[in-house]
Amino acid sequence: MSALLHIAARSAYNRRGTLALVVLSIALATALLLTLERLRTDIRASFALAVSGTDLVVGARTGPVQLMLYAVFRVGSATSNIGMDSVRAIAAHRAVAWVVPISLGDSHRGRAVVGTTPEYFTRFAYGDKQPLVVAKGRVFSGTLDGLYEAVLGAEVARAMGYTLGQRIILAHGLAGLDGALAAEHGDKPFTVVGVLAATGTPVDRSVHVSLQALEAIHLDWVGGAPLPASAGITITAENARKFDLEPKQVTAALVGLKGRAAVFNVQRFVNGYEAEPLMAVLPGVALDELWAVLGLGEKALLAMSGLVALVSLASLVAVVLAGLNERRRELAVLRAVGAGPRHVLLLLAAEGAWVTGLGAVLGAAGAALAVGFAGPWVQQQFGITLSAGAPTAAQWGLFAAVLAAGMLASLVPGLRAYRLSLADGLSPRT
Amino acid sequence: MLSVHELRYRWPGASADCLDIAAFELPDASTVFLYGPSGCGKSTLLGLLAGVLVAQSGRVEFLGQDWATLPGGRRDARRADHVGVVFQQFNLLPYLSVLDNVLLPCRFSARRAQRCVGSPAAAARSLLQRVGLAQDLWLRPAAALSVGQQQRVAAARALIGAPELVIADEPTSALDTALRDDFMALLLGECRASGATLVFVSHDERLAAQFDQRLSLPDLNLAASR
Repeated sequence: MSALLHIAARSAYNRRGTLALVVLSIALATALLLTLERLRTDIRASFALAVSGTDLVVGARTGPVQLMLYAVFRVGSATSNIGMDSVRAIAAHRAVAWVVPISLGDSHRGRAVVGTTPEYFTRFAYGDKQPLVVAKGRVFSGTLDGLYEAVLGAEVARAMGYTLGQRIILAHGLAGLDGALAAEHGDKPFTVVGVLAATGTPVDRSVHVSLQALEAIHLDWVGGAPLPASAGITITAENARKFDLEPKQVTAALVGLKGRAAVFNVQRFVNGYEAEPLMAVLPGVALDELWAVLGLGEKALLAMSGLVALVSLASLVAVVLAGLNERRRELAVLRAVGAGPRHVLLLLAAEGAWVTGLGAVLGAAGAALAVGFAGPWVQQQFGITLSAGAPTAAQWGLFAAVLAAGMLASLVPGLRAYRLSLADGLSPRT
Repeated sequence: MLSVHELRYRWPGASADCLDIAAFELPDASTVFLYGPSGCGKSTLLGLLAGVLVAQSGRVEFLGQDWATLPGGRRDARRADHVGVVFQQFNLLPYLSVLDNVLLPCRFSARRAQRCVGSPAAAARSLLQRVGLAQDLWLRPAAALSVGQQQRVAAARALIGAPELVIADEPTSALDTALRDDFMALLLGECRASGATLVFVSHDERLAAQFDQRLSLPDLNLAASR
């Protein structure tokens, strides 16, 4: 037995060039499989952690997924708004601790503009109830003096190269990245007063201004376009401050409760609100629903990495089978000195197991290194936090699957050699 | 030592018998020359004698035991214990040293290792010396040797641990005349010295004179005359 393993090792060393290629291809497949799996779980995690600490999201009556899409992910737009009266009514509910209204619809170079209150920055949380952190400057003041102040998400500041004091112009509606098609609020520029730290959530891609500022820039607009100059009504940035800037409508509201127990109570209250049709959704439930839709892409990722693994295992089988003819003499010698067909089978299976094991371990190490080194870059570029920690259960599963499949695959040439050596007799008949 | 009765063998998938032999017997410590033209079934008969192949009918008794009555694993173990084999060429594992190649049978058979005089390694060295292989080659990989040298190593390997039967399948056909005569003398001498029965297969009848017994396979094989 040990003699056989010794011979297997020497034989493998003799063919180290070819085997190294097989090990490499298995390592690459394993690394790809494990990295994709890590990416998949971490994307899912950052997705699920896009909002936390908010008990209910309230908007006009629509689908929960659609409400989450525009209120949290800033994708698409609301079909209708909700009245500030309703928001105040919800805030007055005895179980409600706080309400942060948000107003959407404008953009800056493809990034969503969020009109809200200064309270947003203390109430909104993501991940494991992590609060927003101001990396540079401060949040907007919310007063008339600081009317045209903006706070940028980390990605906006980085991508545009903006820093404190930068003057920016908002565009009406959600225009393309260059804002070419949108009418601009060029008469009322904003000043950047703060930049938030990266969160890996849609907050990074948002521009935050006060609700009053959004009212101000739309004072002389009607139906989504500025009043023509002929109408002779223009309101300067300065004059806007003299108007009543309290918003009548907002897009949605984030609601925090005094205790989780009341969540269905408040949800019923909102859904049954009589003055206008409203809807309240639990973020966690709606996120799960949303993920079920996006899960298709996730499955495609998994299927792709499975195919990669399959191809490299097929190459293992092909390499060993191709080498089998040239090894027939070697196997005949072993049979002549007393090795049985089962020894031959064991010899080939042991080699396959070693090659697969080595490849899988190298691949896992490669995946860990890749996540470790590329993690910060991925966080910066895509806002996905890759955790370089211990392997997940699914990763262990994939690792075991690669090992098992590799050993099974190495049995294919082993069985063929077994049959050949049975049929060959004492010397190979070629 | 070896006795064959009513042996019939047909390769899997073949339409006719390859071998049909009524009977023959090989005594202990004899040297037998088995000859016949290429393709007459010599290698098949060797496979049957060595227990690698099993006859569909008839008996091939080796040391009083019919190979066909043993399961595969036992046949392999028995072959490792009692049979040494020399092929026409490619006898050695190219990646093992000369010494390790000679020691191979002792790795698969405890009996062969036990029957070595002194340790197996000592026996291997002594055999390599007797087959006339220069000592500086012993630790070189077998692939570095010439064909003539490889056949000598193969003879040493077949003889280590004093097996009762040595089978040689055209071991001289890759050698030129001078090397062939040397090798023949060496193999016959060593087999006689260790008391092994040598079954030597060749199509070259000029070698027959040096053997105790000569068998013509075409004459023995009834399948050939049909």
